[in-house]
Amino acid sequence: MPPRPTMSIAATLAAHRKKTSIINKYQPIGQAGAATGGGGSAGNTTYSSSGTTISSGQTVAPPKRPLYTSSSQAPPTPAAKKPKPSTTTAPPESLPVYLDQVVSDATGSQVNACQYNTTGEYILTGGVDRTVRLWNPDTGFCIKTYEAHGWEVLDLAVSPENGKFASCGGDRTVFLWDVMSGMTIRRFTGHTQRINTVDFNEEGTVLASGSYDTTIRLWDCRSQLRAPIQILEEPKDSITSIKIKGSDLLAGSVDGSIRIYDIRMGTIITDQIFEPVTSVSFSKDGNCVLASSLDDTLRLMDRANGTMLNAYKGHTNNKYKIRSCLSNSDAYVLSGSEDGNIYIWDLLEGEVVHKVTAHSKIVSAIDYHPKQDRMCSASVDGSIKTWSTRPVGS
Amino acid sequence: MAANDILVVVGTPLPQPKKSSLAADSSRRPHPTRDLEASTALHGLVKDEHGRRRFHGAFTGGFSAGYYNTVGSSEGWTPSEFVSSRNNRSNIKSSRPEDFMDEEDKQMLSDATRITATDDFGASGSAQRDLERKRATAMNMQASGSVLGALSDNMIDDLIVPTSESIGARLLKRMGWKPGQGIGPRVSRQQRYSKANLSSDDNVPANVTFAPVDSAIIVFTNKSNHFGLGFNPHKDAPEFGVSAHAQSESRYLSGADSGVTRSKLGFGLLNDSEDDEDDDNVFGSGSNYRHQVRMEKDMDSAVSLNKRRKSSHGSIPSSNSKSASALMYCSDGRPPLTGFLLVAVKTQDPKWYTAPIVPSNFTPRHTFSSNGKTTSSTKQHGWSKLTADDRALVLGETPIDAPRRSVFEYISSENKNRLDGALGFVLDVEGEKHLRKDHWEVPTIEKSAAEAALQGFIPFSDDVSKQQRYKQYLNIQAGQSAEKIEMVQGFSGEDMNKELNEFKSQAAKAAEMGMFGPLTRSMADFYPNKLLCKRFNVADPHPEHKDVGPDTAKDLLDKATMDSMLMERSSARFSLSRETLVSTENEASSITGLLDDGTMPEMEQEQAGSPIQVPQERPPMDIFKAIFDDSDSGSDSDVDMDADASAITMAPSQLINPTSEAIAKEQDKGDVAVVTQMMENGLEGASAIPFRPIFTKRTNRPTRSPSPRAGSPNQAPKIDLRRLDDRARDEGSEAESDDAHIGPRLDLSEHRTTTKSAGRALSRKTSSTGADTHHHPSTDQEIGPGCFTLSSRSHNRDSSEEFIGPPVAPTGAMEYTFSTVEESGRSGQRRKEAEDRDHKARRESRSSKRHESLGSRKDESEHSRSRRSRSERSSGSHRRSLSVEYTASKSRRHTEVESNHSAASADSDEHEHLAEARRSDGSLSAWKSSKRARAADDRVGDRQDAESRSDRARKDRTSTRRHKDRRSRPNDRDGELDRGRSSSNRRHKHSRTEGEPSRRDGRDRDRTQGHSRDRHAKAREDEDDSDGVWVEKEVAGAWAEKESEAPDSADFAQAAVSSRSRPRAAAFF
Repeated sequence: MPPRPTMSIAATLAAHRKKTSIINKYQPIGQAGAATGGGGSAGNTTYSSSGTTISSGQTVAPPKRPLYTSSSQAPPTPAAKKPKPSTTTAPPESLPVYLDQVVSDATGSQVNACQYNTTGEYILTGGVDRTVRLWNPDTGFCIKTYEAHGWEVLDLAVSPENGKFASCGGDRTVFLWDVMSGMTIRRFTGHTQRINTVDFNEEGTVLASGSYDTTIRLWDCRSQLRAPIQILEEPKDSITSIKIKGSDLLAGSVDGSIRIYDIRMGTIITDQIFEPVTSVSFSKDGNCVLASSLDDTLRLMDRANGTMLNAYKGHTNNKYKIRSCLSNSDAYVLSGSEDGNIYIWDLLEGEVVHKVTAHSKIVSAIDYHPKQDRMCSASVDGSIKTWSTRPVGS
Repeated sequence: MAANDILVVVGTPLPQPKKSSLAADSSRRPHPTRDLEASTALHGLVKDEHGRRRFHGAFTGGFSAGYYNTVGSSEGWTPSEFVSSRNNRSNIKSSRPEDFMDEEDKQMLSDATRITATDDFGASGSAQRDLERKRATAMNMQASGSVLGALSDNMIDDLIVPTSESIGARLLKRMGWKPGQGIGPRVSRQQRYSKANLSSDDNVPANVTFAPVDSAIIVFTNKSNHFGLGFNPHKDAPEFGVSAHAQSESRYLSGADSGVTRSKLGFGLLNDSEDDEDDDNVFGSGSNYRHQVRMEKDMDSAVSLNKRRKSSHGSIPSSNSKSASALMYCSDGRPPLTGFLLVAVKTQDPKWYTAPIVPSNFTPRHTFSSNGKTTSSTKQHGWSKLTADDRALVLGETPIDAPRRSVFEYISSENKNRLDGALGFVLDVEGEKHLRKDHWEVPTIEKSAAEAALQGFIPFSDDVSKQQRYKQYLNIQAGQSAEKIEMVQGFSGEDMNKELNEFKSQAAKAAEMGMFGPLTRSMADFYPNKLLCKRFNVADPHPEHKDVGPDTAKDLLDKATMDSMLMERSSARFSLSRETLVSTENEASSITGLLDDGTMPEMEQEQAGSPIQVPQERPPMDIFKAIFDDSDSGSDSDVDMDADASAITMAPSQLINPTSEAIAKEQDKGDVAVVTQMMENGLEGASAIPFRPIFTKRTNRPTRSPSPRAGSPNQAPKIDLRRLDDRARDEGSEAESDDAHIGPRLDLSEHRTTTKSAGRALSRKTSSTGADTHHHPSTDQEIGPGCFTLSSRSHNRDSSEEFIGPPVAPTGAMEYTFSTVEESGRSGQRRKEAEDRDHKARRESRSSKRHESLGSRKDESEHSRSRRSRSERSSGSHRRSLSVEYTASKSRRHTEVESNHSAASADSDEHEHLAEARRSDGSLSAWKSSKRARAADDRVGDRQDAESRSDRARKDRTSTRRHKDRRSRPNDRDGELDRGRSSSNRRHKHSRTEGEPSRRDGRDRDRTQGHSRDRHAKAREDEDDSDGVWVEKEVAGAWAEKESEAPDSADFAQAAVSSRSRPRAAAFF
């Protein structure tokens, strides 16, 4: 069998893994290195950048076993049994599983979105109380409340320069806010149904919003154009999640597919996963796509060829939109759950590494700190919490 | 009535009715007594003053209510007399309602009043009063918020004991009862207080007895109606419930403390308490009921009462009090509903039977035997095993000779067994096999699934041997290997089964994973908006893709969009100007040789060095600036006009004439240094004489000696020549054949040019005639951007004309050319003459134009334009004859444009002018034209003398400017060239018009003054005329032309008008 291009991804992820100094559970395999090298040199131009990453990683670390072993390879040598990760064992150091701060207790109303700003200093939350709130995650102080929405807030996006953020929700309008003044700068109207998700491009010049009306609209933040720059109408059902990375626009839809609009290449890549997709996110290197779907499963899809790299199960997610994310190192997969816990999987192994008992109700949103190993979570019960790698006080 | 009539009278005789008493004295106030008498006498009935009986209602007196319909009496109604209260104040009694009532009313009043017992009467009354007081106290306490306040209010009430007590109270007091105590025998402390209170008061001796708790007596009412429990029929209609309410009020005590009181009250009463309106509904009372029950339980008061009652009844022994109290509660621990009593004797309990014993082997749900065998129940009935065939066999039927039904029936038993073994795990027929320890089955999965699983994730990475087995299993299942799975050492069959099942599930999972990939992926083209690409800093991935969906916003940055917008605009403008030109076209007149001023040799020399270019676009802005800069000098500038017009409108169609001229020139003079052949395409039609644009070096030109060549083919009249010819024929002289209207045949651009050129020609003419100055002797040089040198065919003077114009040959030009050819072929001689004329005229016009052009100001050009147009109008006839002239004039114009040095060869020009004018005035008599021309000349002279006339002034300006320009701007040629290039066609049309000098002069003047006054002003005002303005002006010019189309007589009139208006116009200058 020819080496699969996914191997380079796996190797990349493994390299990430190593970077984060996680216990190396993988024993070196002779062929794996070759295979990895083959994967890198397979001429897959898409991954040329990641190929360099691999080579550098290989100099430092023993070759990692690829995620996938093709049948043509020689059987791996027997090795010591890998310790089964379990929730009972101590979580890896880099996992933010200890409660850091209760930003907001469960007295508030349902929170739909929580989001770190790009520096991780603040948290923005939005919920059914029709407000967006800016919190200090360390003290739990509510710095500012942004009120303009007439309906619940469903999603937030912080502009890269942190000066603005966008919110959307039931009022079919994307609000572009000025963080300091608390006023809306622009209000983009055009969607005919509630807007589920919104995201900035990396320069903060374009806002993408996905709506229940099955369209994605791209709004220009620079000019005063009232009409959207473009309307993407390919999805057949409600758009639940949009992420933009580079020139890729990733959209998950209830129609059971993940779409990547590659603006640079001018192609739409549609990956069917046959289950309503509720949350999508890119891995940090942009080569993998993590998708939550309503069959209690998260899937890690290969952007290059649409194969599924891994599936993550164990949590409950079959009714609600629950956000998932990857850790900064791309080593872990995190997702909320309808049982109030936060589940953390090892990206490679697909096992639940840790289960954080977080909230009393559905964990609607989690977000990983952009720089540190922290995360914040918000729940339907109205509570907002932050988590760190160490218990408070230690 | 006769006396002898016998009358039998029975009864009382009727009184004689008073005559018309009713009718006549209707206004009279009825006198009751009198009426009474009358009516009584009659019927005893009451009537009003009209004699109508008054009916008071069947039950209120009928017809005889009141005192005969009054409130009076037999004495009449008398108001009570006024009594002064001064002396007998005490005697005055205030009037009561009864004072105003009659007996009937009083009767009704007395009926209404009922005698009731006072509050004080009876025990219930006193009790009610007590309760009322308590309630008031409570309310006061509530209102005041303090006990003290309540006390202070009620202290007196409490202290003052009512003197009269009810008999019941008195009796009770006699019996030792005290107010505040309950009624009944004294009870022990235990009975008195509830258990909760007991602990707090332990020091009280046990033998002390207490009065019972004072509690309201519960009166149970029978439910005498058929309403549902708690239903109040008067809830929404309280007015009907008054009596019932009063009843209940009178019968029951309304509690001061609503809670407590309610708890004491009967259930049905709850609806009647007016302070609990909110609870007045079915459900509310239900809750009240519950509340009540609870309260009773707590307070224990009802119990005690009941107890007492029972004990007093003696039906239940007092020793049984405990059981009695127990009896008071229902089996659920609650007291019975109010109005119900628990039965004393219990009915016998229903008999209970113990549940049957479930056999230990019983399983609550049905299980099918796993080995597929029929269950015992079915076993019992053997029939289930028998098929129809079996039965037939049993019955001894002869089997039907029919094909066998199943494939298996063809298989031998041996093979059958083997098949069973192979398919056993599927069919699960042999259940026993599972029980065997060493037996294991290989679960199968689909081949595709196995393949997919092989492609996908391979688990068991921690156990390599297991992983191997897994792979082997998959390989087998995928048909990639033929080996068989063998028992692993140390594995039992069970283990094997387990592992293999695990493999199967893992494979399914892996297959599921492997499912994703190319099959689930689809790719399509995505056409991001340009703006989107820009925002994302990427290049447009599909630059060739133009299709923009209807929904997407229009790309404002799109160049195509911009272009189209621009095109729209320009085309609109173009069409406008086009119309203008068309309208003027008919009037465009050819100008016969009035303009004969050749270009100044010096100037030509100067210009000769200018580069020969054929730019096709609008000249740069600085040229315009250079041209338009001085607004002071007021000469008409054709050049400006041309330039502008060409810039504005499309200049393409203008070059043919220049071409021909150039060729002619070339041929004539042979000294053309540079000959550029242009517009060959456009000239194709002219087979006889190829027209080629020729560039001549300026240096060569001035030195050329005039070599008049008559009838050079190139100079053939170009436009409308046929007509011209006809006319010429008709009139027998070319000079007079000028009347024809060339218009319709000219194409647009030509028209345009025509108008303009006409105007220009006018101005030129005027200037030339008026100033009489500038006749350039030698060559006509038109310096255009392209520097076409066109040799004029008329060679009275040798003039090499440099033609300025765009090298584009429009269709109109083609046409033009054709006609020219024809013309030339037809009437060489005529042509010659015409050419001569033309030449002169050209020169003249050239010179004038030169002036204009040099001193070109916008306003000037305005003038010229309007004039031109007018002249065209007027000289429509000229045009014909001047087909030759066209060229000439064209060239002239050009020359004017370019050549600053207009060596004014004035004299001959003048004559020519006149001649031309005469000639050109084909429609009119020659003398007329000549006369006019003369007059014009005179006028010109006058003008020169008196500057007050605008025309003259203008011309002067022109001339002066000309001179000035000549002097100051020798190099302007280039700029002008540019301008001229584009407008060459126009220009030559111009020249056409120019052909007729003096006559037009006059007319022109008039018209100009008459019509273009405003335009003048306007032009002056905005020096930086935009194109639009130009167009506007052109329109105006056209209009002016039209007007001037009027017959010559009209001209005079106009002249008059214009002369009148002249001063005004002059004022502008």
